Amino acid sequence: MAQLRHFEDEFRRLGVQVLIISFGADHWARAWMLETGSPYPLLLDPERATYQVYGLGSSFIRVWSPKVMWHYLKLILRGEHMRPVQGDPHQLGGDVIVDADGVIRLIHRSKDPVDRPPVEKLLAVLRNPAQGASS
Amino acid sequence: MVKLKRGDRAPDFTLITLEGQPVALSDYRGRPVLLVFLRHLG
Repeated sequence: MAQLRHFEDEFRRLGVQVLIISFGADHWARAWMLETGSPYPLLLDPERATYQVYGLGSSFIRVWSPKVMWHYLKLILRGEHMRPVQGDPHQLGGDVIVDADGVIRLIHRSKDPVDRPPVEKLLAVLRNPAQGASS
Repeated sequence: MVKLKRGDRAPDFTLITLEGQPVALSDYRGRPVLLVFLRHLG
């Protein structure tokens, strides 16, 4: 979220609407919004219907892999605040860019919890949809 | 279910904001949208 906030002006300049989707409970979602200071709307999908439609997976093995554990250990050693997991810890996320005509220009399904595309890549596709991809 | 890919039409949906307002993807037709699906709020 910090990365998305950092580029807020650029998203605005490009006329992009950012929508955050979560399956978390209402009160946790409110706490998350306060803590992150997200400037973008948060939409609640407790049934995870959109996650299914967009093909976002759920994986025990990928979530608890050594790579992911090492990532979180580094965050803890840096003193970052880790909150208890709310909701299904095995649900994976993703990022989708939809153009002004309603066509998917990029769909990135996270392979593990730390697999998110760099914001620079998202901005590159928003500037030039021909650079999009599916994964 | 067919796996969506680049070039496909984005399936529309309607979800509720924290303020209880319904928001549809199609509400934003005419401008690009970045959908960020969170894992969990932890």
